[in-house]
Amino acid sequence: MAFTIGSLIYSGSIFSVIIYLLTRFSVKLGSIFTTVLFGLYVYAIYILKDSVSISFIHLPGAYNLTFKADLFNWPFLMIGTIVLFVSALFSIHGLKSFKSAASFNFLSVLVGTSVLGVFGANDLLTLFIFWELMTWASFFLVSMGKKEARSAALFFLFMSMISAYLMIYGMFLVYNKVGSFSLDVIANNWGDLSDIRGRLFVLFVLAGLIKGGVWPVHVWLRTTHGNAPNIFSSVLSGILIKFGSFIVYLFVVFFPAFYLTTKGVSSVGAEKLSHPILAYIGAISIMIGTLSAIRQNDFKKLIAFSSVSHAGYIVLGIAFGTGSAILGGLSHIWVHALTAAGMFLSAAAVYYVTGTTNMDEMGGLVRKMPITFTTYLVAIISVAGIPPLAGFVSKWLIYQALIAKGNYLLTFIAFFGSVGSFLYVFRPLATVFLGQLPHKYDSVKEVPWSMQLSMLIVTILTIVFGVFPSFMLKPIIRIEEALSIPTVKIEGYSNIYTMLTQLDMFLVAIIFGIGFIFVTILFFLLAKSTKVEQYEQYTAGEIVQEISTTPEIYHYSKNYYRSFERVIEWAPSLEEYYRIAARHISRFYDILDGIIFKSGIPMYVWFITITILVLLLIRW
Amino acid sequence: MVNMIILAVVFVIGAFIFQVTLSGFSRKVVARIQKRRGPTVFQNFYDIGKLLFKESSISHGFIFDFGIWMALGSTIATLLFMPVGGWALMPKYANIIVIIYLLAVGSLGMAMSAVGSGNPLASIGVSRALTQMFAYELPFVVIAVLIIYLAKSSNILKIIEYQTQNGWNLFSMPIGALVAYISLMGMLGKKPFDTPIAPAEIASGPLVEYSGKYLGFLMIQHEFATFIEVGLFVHLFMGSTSIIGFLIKYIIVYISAVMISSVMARLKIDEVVKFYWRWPLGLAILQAIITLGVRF
Amino acid sequence: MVKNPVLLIALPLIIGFFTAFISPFIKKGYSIIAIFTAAITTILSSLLFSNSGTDLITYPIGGWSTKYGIYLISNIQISGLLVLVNFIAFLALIYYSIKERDLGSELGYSLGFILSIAAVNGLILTGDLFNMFVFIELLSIGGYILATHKGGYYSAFKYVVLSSIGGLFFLIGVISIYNVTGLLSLLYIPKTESFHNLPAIFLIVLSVIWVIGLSGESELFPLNMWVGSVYKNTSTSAVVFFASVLSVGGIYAIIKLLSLIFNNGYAAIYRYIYALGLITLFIGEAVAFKQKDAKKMLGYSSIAQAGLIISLVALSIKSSLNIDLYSSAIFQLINNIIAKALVLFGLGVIGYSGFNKLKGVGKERREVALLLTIGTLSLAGMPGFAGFWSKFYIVKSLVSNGEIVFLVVFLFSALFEVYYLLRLSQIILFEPQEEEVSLEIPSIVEYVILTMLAAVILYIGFYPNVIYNLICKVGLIGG
Repeated sequence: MAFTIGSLIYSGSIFSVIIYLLTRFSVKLGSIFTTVLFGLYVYAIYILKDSVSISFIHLPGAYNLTFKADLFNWPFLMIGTIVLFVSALFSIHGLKSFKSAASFNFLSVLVGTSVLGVFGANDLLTLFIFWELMTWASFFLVSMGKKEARSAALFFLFMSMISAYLMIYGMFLVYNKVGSFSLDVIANNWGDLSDIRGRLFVLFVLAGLIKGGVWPVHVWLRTTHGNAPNIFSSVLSGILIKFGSFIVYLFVVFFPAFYLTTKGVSSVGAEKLSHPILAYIGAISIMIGTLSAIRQNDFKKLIAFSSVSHAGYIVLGIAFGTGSAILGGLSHIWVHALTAAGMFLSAAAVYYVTGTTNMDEMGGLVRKMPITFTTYLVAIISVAGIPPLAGFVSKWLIYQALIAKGNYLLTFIAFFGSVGSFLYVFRPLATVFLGQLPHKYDSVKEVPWSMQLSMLIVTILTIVFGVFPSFMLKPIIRIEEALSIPTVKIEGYSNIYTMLTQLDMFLVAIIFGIGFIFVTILFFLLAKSTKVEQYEQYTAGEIVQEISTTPEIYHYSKNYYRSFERVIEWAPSLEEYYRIAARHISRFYDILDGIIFKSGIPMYVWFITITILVLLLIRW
Repeated sequence: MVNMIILAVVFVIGAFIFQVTLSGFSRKVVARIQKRRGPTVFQNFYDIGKLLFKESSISHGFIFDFGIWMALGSTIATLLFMPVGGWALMPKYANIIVIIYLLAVGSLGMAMSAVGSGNPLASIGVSRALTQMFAYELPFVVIAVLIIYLAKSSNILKIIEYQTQNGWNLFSMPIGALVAYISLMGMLGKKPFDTPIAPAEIASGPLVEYSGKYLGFLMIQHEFATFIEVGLFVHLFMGSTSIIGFLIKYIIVYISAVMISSVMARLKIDEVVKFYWRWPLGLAILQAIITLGVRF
Repeated sequence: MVKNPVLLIALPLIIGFFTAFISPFIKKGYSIIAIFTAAITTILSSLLFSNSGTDLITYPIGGWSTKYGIYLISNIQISGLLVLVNFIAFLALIYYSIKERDLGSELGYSLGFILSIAAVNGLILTGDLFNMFVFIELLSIGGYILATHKGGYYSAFKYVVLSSIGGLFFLIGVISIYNVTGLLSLLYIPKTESFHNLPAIFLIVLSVIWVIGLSGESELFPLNMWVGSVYKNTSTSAVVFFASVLSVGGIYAIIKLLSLIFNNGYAAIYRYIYALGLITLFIGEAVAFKQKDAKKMLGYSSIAQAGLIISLVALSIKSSLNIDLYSSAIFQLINNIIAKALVLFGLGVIGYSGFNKLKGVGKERREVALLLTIGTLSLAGMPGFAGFWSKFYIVKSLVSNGEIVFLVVFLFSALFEVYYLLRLSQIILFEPQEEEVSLEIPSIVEYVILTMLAAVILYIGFYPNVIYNLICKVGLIGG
């Protein structure tokens, strides 16, 4: 049975109320229902893989909401529903002591429908409506987090509304020109929009950059992702910021290339699709995100900046314009969705167990939480772009594209982000999972089964997409072929041919496995090693009494990269500038208030007198 | 298939013997510089053998072991992709970017294992090692990009082919070669860039808790990594198809690096970063502008 | 006879006087009389509504011809607004009789409410300038009384000063036009020869004087300084009256003046009024953003919305009536009336309006907080709620008419509006409680009021074109 987007959204909105009531009754039951619903979404999108489905919801007395699922938005829909499903699965146990679990589930289902509604929209109005729905539902969801979450939510709201209002202006500019919001109409008449194309580009791409968390409009990410309820952070970073990438994709790649294809152009090359300024904005975002992430001490804020950096990769790939770059950028959306989900879910698991996300308060948790550790390890290997995992594939494709054009500056920055990411991803590994386990965590256990299962799914998917990248790449290659963009060739499950070389991920994985197995066998053939307690360490001859009672004194985690931070300390903070601007606006408004309203009757009399005099002046 | 396996084994063992002998020889060279005799050329074999066959060794848990497997396993895997002269085990897949990244797996494994021991000295060493990697990779990458672009391929064999036609990159981009050489010294962890190990300062950093077979494995891993890194440099800048030529050039590069490092003192880690990002990176960009012009 | 709208004015006045008459004999039950009055006017206006069409119908009074005498005008839009306004008045009076009867003299305030209803109906219905002046004064008197509910004497005093000045200005304008044309009828003045020959500067000053005159009631600049204090210091039923009943009278009076008298596209006029409206919008939202009291905040929000609506109307009469702009303004007015009433009722049910007292109240009064949030989400223009569509139509009409400056000011102000509205919801729902507050248990009737308003908002949110096509897309001179 084939489901349409419209029917999925419709049923989702009805289910949201049912799930609310169920969760009031039992949190686990409500979350199980949410998981089943999102699992249904995953299945429904999966079977739509090779087909086109158009549907609509009729609002009597208003415009129709039209939806479509075809090869052009299938990758977005698929990864969106996967992230939703994994988060819902996690929440079965993860919401255990959450205060407003019922509203959380209700709003999460609304956010889920908005994911379908934005990616599956067939006209700009539908897209906008679901975009706004996501905004206010996310606002309330983020507000449910930690103490600082509320001001973070307001900041998020403000930035999201800026992007929404940019979009609504652009929407109506288009409507004025072509008389319709429909994406098909826009794509077919893209040529007629040539005089407003510049404005449209700025409006929509800027809206996409704000939502996507790209420098210089990334400042809301740190506090929002850092303070949101942990499970929701994975949805926020995993799929919601991809809304921005989707808009950028539409206006930078899809519309121009589609139009040229309909005009009979057989090869839409980089000249038509590349936007150097946008590519450099993405590149700066990579650098800033990486450097800021290295400085963070809070687990989730670190991952938030990592998202800034990866949003930069996506924009860089899309804006660079060649087939390999676009393929790399779009596939990076999948990669980052999975890794962000993996990292945030493991952070959520750690929080569930320890009650904190401050990395310098933890340590040695690998002994107690191996599955969480594995998820995190796989996620960071992918984030750093190390083979044979998924992150390597998308980054490698981007490198190929950049090197093939000889653009050494952008390649340098892309590598900067990749190598720099080793630093910041390793820090939580070292400070949270490895090292000395404080005694206060002696009795913690691994998280419940649903959370483990959800993390395992993310891990397995990351590995599968890395070793057999064709699952991830083929849908996007299909898009490029349909848009006449010269693209890379892929053979079998894992053999990729680019203009510079070829790569077989499966082979790499096999060789890696061979080496690993060989060494392991050799290891066990040699004499057995003795296992010692964690406090038995080399202490340079000193007798440190406290090691066994307070192991944390021997755990190196505070200011992990202090030496590096000293090198980049002089850099100003963009967030600080935003704050200063906000303070000035606020003070200005206070002044307005003071002059006009707070003054008493005498001031009013003054105003009136002045008005009368002005009127007399004009009249005579 | 069986051919491949035999070739692979021969290659690995050959590389091992070559590099360990050479590193033993380098100890003699350093000794002579320091006006001593130095140990025998085969000393490193004895060291590795002794360590591997020690009866007792300390383990700090599963991750401690797992990291070692990952480190040595991936280094051997990387080695299998490396070409020697014009010969490679898997000629179509000798991809430079893959090799650079697979080396990173080795570092990651070692880092994970080191920190998994629970010793803060190891953690400090690892944090420095990662910072240093950040520092030296960047200039190297800029030069590598130039070479790949000129050779129109990221396959090392194609780069060698390009050099047989156009002359060694050492001569056509000398500044780049210098930059890559300095990065190479950082990669190898030779003074003045041995901050992560810093023997007297942080008790060998990551290596502090290793003993017995663990230390043996790490030594093997270090030797293989050296082989890959120096080999990479030779292929990139002095590439030619003869294997003997490769070995000779390799010896020259390696011994010269050892000799230079034997007379230098250690830098602090922030000095390392500042240095790499100022001079080698600046020179690399200069080389890029010279070779390719200003490209945006 | 029942269909004649004059009853909407006459009946409350009669009942009011009658109540005053019998007051020595009956000591209690005045609020019931007020509720009864509001109920009757609601029913009457619904009857009028069901019989209305898009054409403007005149109802002469006392047999005088419409050129020289008093008459009322109505069409489906006017009657629709009447239904809405009277219904909200009805709800407010029910609320008054349940919760706030003891806040002062029951007789005095019931009379104040009844008078205000009469005055608002009059303002919306009247077709005659002098009649309009009378109702402005009557509205002010009603406002004076209502503003003092719960002891807001100083704010009421500010209101007195400002609205008397307003009344004075209006009278000056009326006298000037009478001097020139000899007529006072809204429909006939623009048709006279002398009016056409007036220099543009005269018309500009005239329009500005009238807008200033009505700015006291409609909460525009320059006479709206009273809004913040009055809203904060008066009772819930009174503040609902101010936000959703009294101001509507003032705003619609301005709309009538602009559309009917200046309906031939006096382009010069629109610039000043449009600028005034935009300044009101911007400053209103800016100041609302800084407030720490919810009712005051909503007061400034009302100011801003009034500015927005008047600007849109002024734009729409720039050349011949631009129905898109005009209808989006009316739609915004309607959505505003309902949503503000909902939020203000919600705050009343909670019982507090200062932010420090409101923190965390939502945890104990979850349903009230959620219903209130529906109101704030609608005011913020979120999809699923009525306010989304009015913002949609406003942006649509602005872009299609190329008014980019307006659009930028509007959207920029809207950013802050969304921020402070949702901040209110956030404070109620998510902040931890800081001060000890005692909350009364809401009665069923209060829940019903809140739910009803929320339901209307949701209905319009999903089926906006019902209201939009029916009521809004009607210009006063037949579109």
